[in-house]
Amino acid sequence: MNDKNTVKRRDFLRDGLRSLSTLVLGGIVGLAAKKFRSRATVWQIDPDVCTQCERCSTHCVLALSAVKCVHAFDVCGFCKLCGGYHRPNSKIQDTAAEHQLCPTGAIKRTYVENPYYEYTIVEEKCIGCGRCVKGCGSFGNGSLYLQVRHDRCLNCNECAIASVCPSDAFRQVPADQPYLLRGKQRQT
Amino acid sequence: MFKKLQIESQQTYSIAKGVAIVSAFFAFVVCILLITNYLQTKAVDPINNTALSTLLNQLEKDQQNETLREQIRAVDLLSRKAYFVNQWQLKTGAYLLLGSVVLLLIALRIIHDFKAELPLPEGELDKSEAWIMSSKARQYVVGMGVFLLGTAFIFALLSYNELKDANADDVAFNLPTQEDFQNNWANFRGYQGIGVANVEKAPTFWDVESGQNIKWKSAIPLPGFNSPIIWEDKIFISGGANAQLAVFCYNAETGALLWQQQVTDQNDESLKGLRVDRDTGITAPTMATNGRYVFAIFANGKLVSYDFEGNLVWSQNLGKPDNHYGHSSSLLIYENTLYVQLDQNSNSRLLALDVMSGNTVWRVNRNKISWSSPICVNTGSRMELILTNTSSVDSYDPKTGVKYWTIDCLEGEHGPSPAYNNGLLFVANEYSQGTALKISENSAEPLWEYYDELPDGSSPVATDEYIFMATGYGSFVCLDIKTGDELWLQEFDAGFYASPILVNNTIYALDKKGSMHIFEAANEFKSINDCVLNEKTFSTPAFVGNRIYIRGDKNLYCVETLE
Amino acid sequence: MRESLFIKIFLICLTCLFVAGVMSDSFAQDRFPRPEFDSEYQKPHTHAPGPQAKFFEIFDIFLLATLLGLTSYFVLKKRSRRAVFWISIFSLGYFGFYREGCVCAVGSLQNVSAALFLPSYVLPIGVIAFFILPLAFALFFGRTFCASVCPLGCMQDVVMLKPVKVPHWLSEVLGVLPYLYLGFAVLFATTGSAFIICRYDPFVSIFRLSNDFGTILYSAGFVGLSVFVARPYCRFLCPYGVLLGWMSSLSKKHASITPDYCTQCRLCEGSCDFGSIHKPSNGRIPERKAKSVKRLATLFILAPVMIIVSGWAVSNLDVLLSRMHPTVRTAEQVKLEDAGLVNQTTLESRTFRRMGTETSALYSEAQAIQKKFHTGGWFLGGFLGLFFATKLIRLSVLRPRIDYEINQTSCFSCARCFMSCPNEHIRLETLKGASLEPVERVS
Repeated sequence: MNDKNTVKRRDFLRDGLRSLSTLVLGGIVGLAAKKFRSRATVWQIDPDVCTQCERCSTHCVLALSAVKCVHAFDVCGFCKLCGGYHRPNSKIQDTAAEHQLCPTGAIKRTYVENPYYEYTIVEEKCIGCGRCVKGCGSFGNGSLYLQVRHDRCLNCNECAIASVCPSDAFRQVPADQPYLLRGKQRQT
Repeated sequence: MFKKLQIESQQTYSIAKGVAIVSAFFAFVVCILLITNYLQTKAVDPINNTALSTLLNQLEKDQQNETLREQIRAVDLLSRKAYFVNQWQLKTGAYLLLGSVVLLLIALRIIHDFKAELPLPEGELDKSEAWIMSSKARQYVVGMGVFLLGTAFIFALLSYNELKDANADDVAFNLPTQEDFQNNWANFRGYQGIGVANVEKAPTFWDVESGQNIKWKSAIPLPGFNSPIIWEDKIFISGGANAQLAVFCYNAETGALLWQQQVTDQNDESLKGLRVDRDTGITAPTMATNGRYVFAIFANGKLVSYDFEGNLVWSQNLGKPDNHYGHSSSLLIYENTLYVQLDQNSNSRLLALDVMSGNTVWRVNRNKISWSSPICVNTGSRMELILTNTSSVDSYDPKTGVKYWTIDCLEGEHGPSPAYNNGLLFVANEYSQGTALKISENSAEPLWEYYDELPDGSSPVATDEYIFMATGYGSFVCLDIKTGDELWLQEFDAGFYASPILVNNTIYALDKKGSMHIFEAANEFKSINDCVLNEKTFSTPAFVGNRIYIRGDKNLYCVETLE
Repeated sequence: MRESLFIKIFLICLTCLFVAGVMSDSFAQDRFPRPEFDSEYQKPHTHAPGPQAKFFEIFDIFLLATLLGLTSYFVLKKRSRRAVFWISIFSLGYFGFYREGCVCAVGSLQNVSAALFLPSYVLPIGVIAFFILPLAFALFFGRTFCASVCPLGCMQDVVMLKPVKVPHWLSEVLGVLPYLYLGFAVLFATTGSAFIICRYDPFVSIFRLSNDFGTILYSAGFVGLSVFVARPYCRFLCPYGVLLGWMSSLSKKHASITPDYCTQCRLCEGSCDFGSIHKPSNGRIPERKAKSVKRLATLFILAPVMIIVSGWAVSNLDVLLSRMHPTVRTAEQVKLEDAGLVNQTTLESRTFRRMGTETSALYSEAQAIQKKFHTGGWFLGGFLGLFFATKLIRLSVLRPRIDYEINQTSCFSCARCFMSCPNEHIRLETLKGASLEPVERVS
């Protein structure tokens, strides 16, 4: 008899606590819902804050970083001597390996018309070091810049690059506006 | 029937065993290959490809070398290929490893199931066991708690808050003291920039041929007219040629080149179309250091700051100086401030920058061009920052930039920096005059003037009694500091660019052809020795400890009296 | 300046004109005009592949709920270990190797904490669902999430080949670690410093088959350990497991070893590799009652003291703990550099200086973070003190148990013990014709 009472008491207590827990969980959802956004978020680099420290190429959890250089063609000057393509001091502005700045040869240069050349990023080769971005930013129009490519990004909960970014250029943006592009394609 | 089942299961068991062994071996091999591959991938890191960058550096010097170009292209292609193939191998290897481990797991699981035994509890059920276990656990948990708390206490006690008074007004900077500055050679012409060395004795004899008293000799990759600066065991110089600008750091003990940093980037289009005189070059200004960072300015107006390990701390572009010979005023350090005399044809200014951040503390506008360097001296009751330009001598408060006084006593294109001793300032310039100024409370008065042998690049130096002055055409004069009388005149074979330095009671004057004329700082010419370097010398030597550091055209020398 | 001075003076004027004309423009963003092409050339568009996150977000929530429901159904209704195993293989494949580990319920607790404390932190619906659903299920059906939905748990479960029995005292001591981990994870998340659960996740680099060498070694080590220690991460580290345990201990319908009643046959004794089966106990404490009462009374009185002392101790670790925050690290480095106490600059300090922000602003920000850590430290320490007090009180009372019972807090609902119960075999009719008489119950 005594035992039964103990069991009953315990069950009662548990029922009470369970209701309380439900309330707490509900409360957390409620509180979180206050700032809740139905949109998923993804990581992105703010190109205006990025300092091209080269950590994007080394700190991504992927062997080949999800950060790549992208090109805003409508900002580009299509120069023959390209600060992003050519090594500093290269006297001849051709496509020879010794004149190329990109360590993996990931920029393709094609002749458009005199004196203009088009520069395209070959993403399979780009490792996201940002050397071309630095070159273009200090010499050219800044049409090259680094972005997280979402066909590759795993969208880690804590982005391994963001946690070591010295200029805090990474932020989480809504998944339906996943890029911070330059030029006409810039989103508001 | 039962027997058949047993045989079948026996077969399954042996198959599983075989699979386990094979997959374990395979996984092991893949593991080894993956590790090897990983190490290789590290070696062909495209960002830090040392082999390629060495070749590229060679090409910089030897632009016409077609075979070198071919070699670079080959190395570049090979390393890029190796990198991506390795990446592919890593990925494939990882899948193979995963596959083999899964197989191994399945096989092991089957083997395990064969060996599984039915539960057979031993002994009697002990219903009082629970309390014994709880008691034991309780003790250990208490132990764990005490351990954690103790650790927390120790760490709490040991941790020191660096940021405790970070924003308090009286932040005590633990920067080098004035004594440290005196014992090193932190900027052009040493402490305060007045050409007086704070050493007891310097070598008076050396011989390059036999190597006697030459502690070391080290090649300088890029030429330049700036003078070496020294802080403790490091020497800093800058150099430049063609479109290249660089800062070099040497070990003062061994002469080894510790690091070099290219200042040039694509931006240095700014060097193109920059008109500089052959005698000034693009790296005329001497660097400066505050013992933490080193600073260098170049003819294109680029001002950079590196730490002692060669990391860029800050850099700024002061704009291409409007200077028809090239910017040549050296940097000067006093306490936490870096002074940049940016006198040019238009937009002349004097900048005081915070050494740590490069932020401007104050700036004053100036109106004339100049090629001389500032000095910062104690005039009795206060420090004064004294500058010269094509027409005047100006004195400023180093803390605020407030102008103390100005005197018009110069003309012509002015290169030499002032000499100073105990309240007496001496400024001179070729095609102009030499003027001695007595600095008093809030003003300066001309004492006497001198018109004969005047310097064009070399700066004068003053002792308590005399002023010594070297000219661009080889004459060296000694003047009485009180009257301006010429006490003696000595003609040397070669002219002087480097400034004479006063060491205790001796004058060291280095001429353009590499001869160091050592003589007494006295009222008559008493030569102690003439020592020759077999190369041209344009830079002012530095004196630290019992050594002399001399920058020649091609080499950096360390002279020390060796036993 | 030097020999040929007068000749050069003539050049000044020319140079001045030239220089003024050419050099005065400062570099702006558009240094080069965007060209107008004569040919038919059209500028290409910047390619911007969209993320899959949006589709997966809803799909993952749906899958999570389904798998939780299925597992609960198979554990509680069907009592099928086989089904649980295959669900766990699926979860491992999908949430682990296919979705590559993010976001998971374990990590989501940091996002939720951050969202509750950081004003600007955005919390997507997927993350809330991943946090709440397993807890809600645990509140009613036990930790079915651990059984076969959590990819981390499944990973350890499938490699568990030869588990050793961890002594009770050791598992109690190691059982402290999840509470510490939980506390620190919440502290670091709410101060915006780091997500340590994600950073030190031992299995994610296996799911992704890539990472740096050290992390892979760490993961391989954990997998190797899991072969011999049953679910080491779940039992001795997992911070989310703490919350699940709380919920599960209150669960209305939790899995039980026997489908019917316990015969105390002892056959299930060794069936749990996680040490989650309570043995029967006579409830008698072999010491004087006064002693036990005194111990309990002391613990109750000491509990507030423990809370305060440990709160004080952890709050004094604020300086140390705050170094987890990148801003504090940069501020300290900048301070040390300015004070001349370090010679080497870091990329962070150099970047900070290049950005040109005032150091005082950096210091104030860092100090504000330290303050947060101080306050947070009080809460964390208090929480840990309370935990220790509760744990000691729990270890100082003895509950009589007649039957073999499941420890609802730590049980993963893996369904392994079911088949060791003879009554289960009777239920499944694998022992044809057998029936067992109930033993007489002694109180």
